[in-house]
Amino acid sequence: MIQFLLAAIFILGGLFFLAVGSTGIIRLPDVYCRSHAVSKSETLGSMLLLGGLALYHGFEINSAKLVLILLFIALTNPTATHVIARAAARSGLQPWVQERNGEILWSSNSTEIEQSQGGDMVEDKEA
Amino acid sequence: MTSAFVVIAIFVAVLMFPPLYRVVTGPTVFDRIVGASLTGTNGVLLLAVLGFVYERIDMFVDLAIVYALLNFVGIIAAGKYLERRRRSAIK
Repeated sequence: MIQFLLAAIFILGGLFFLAVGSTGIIRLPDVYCRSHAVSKSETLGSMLLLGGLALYHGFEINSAKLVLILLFIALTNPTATHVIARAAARSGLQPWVQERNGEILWSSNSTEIEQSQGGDMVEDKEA
Repeated sequence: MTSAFVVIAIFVAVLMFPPLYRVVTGPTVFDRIVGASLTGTNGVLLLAVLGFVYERIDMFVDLAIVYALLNFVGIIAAGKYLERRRRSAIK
């Protein structure tokens, strides 16, 4: 009984993190931010969902195959996202910046903020 | 318990649509590839859940393994191909 309870908790948590990943890919502004949503949240959601399915199925050869898919996704999903982000960076795609009156408020490249504000981050946080 | 897996399968299938929207209206090529990767991963999970819906886990798990392999190889090939081109992939 505790096995099915754990499986239900794992599956519901996995569905929550899958929903977070799918929301992030339409809400976030940039390739780099979107690859963040895909690589972390989606990997955790997939691992939780497949682990919950393997727990529900019990100790059998198909559960071992489900755990194999889990390990494969845990290895390959961040790798593929890293390859895409590196290709975007090497072909010269600039990160997204949020500007107001010529001042950079937020950027996914943190060195740009330091350059535009002279490296003085403390005053900006207080203001 | 099968109806619970039907609900989970419908939920995962609905979660395949936001990445598909990103594939259709991505500003750059890389947005489209990220969306395609996420769609493929959700497809693998949908196959694994469908095995529990139809109670044919032995068949659907093998299909899910093959989909995961093809998805990974395709995304790596696309990323490596676009890495060589300069500037033309952004617009």
